[in-house]
Amino acid sequence: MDKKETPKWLLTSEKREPLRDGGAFLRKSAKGLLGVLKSVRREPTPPGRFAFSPPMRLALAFFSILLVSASYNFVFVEIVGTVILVYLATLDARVLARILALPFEAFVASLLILAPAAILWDQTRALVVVPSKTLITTTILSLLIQSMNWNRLTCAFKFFRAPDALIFIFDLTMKYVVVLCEICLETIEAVLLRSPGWDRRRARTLGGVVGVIFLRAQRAAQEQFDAMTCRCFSGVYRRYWAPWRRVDFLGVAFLLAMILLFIYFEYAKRCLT
Amino acid sequence: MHIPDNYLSASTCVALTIATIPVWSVSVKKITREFPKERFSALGVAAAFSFLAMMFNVPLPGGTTGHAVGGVLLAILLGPEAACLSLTIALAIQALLFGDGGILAFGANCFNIACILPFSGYLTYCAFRKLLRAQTGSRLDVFCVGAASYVGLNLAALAAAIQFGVQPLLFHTPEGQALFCPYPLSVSVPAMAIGHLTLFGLAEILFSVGVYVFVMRAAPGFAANPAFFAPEKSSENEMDWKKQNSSFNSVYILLAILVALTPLGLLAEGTAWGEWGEDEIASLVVNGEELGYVPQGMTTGFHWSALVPDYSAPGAPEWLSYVLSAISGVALSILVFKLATLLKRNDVSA
Repeated sequence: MDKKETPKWLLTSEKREPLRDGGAFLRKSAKGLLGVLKSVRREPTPPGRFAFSPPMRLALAFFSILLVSASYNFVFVEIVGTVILVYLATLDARVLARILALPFEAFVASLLILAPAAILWDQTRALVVVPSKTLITTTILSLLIQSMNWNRLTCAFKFFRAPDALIFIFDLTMKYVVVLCEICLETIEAVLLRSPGWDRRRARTLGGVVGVIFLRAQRAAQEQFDAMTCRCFSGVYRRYWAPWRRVDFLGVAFLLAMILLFIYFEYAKRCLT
Repeated sequence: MHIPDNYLSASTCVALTIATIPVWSVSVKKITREFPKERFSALGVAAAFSFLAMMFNVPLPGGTTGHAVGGVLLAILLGPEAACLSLTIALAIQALLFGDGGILAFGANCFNIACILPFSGYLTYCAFRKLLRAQTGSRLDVFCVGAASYVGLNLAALAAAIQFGVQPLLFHTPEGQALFCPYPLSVSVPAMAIGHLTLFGLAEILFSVGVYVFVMRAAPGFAANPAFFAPEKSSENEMDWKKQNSSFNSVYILLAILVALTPLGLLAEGTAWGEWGEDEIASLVVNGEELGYVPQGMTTGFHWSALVPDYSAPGAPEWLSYVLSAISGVALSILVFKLATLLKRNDVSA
């Protein structure tokens, strides 16, 4: 076709700028929910040949968080931090980004909280120590969560004789976060699809969405109770015996070394000097 | 050669940072465009090498110390732009975590160590190589590496000496007391030159040549500068991947050995020229004269509280703290470049 015959309006690019409506709030909420779903439904990093068993990992994480938090001596914090750094350096970039996202936020938040103390009262050391401890402890927690799925984590809790009620609440919470997020997403999508055109008050419908979720949650709780009754589940979890792996001996040695180092730097060294 | 905070005026620091920005910009653009994603870990390893090289302090009679940098070696192996970025990250880790080099003076340190050193050394290497018609891996080539690293280090030291030396001329009180670095060019240039032309230059040659020979023999896959080294064959071939991985394993082993040897750097006592603390500077004797005052800019200037100042945590044995600092520096360098791969888009082949 000759270019001259092409109508002018067909050659100009179309610029359509729809008026702002109240849908942005709903869309942002949906995005936030998707983020929650993504983090809860994540694929855990497959355990390597030399990975510790879940109870060992839980014990290591628990003790390292406890000892780092309780440590007055920064050398101990530095040692634990160095070990974690070396482990992180061996991981894949995508896994690293997933693990470090939350600790980084916690680190920045603690920096902001402590900034006035550093600026007004010259507490610069606190500005260094507290965010470092926050970064290390949250990284340990993030590593633990990313290394196994939720079922393994509840099994590890039971291994250490955690109360059934606690495991039950944790288990149900994780499952229902997914279920209710999905319901919420579907409802928001339905609201957005069925109210075309310009509506300034669309954000107000979010109240209705929350109401629907509340009713659906109540119904889901009743269904859960019925399902549990049918399966004769009385809320008692069986103790899980994780197969003991050779590498777990290394974990025990590591745990003992960590406790000994803590005692050395916190008490023995103080007494000796 | 690490300029601490308050040795240069804020305006000098800003000017040198502005001068460094175009080099960073060009380096980032070239690396993101030409460097394959899977080779980014080599940049982290390079930063780790430089970080470790700077931990081996060499003593000089008279009480000062210095160290190698390894920047020209990185420029030859990976290209000057890659070396610039690796050295920048190594310097950032040193400044932020270990207080080695100032925060305000970060731009100035990058200008000297991450720009002048690799680029001038690389150009010298190219010139020598062309002049001597040296083949990659030959003895002449090794000579070129040594000579280029020596020239690069000395030019960077000269730049730092000039920056120190112009401070008392430009910034002083009405009474004539310097506000920042108190030593003029007549003192700073010879003081920096003596060390770098002799022992520190020798340390740089030994480090660069040693690592270069090791890489050529044990890990040729690590060298990625297409100007001098033949690129690896197609990565589809499983054998090539295995060869490349074994290359990297050898490099990691060398890194581990260097980390274990870092306490040797503690044998050198004293402070490097131009890196004195506020408590030292007033009593310093240069050319038979004691300074007798602390420059005003140093007492009222910016002070950064590093996580592990001077690589030594209070309450820990010095060697332990030094090794821990070396390990965390190496791990952090690798970590930063691993995360940087996420910023690079996947290459789409036609």
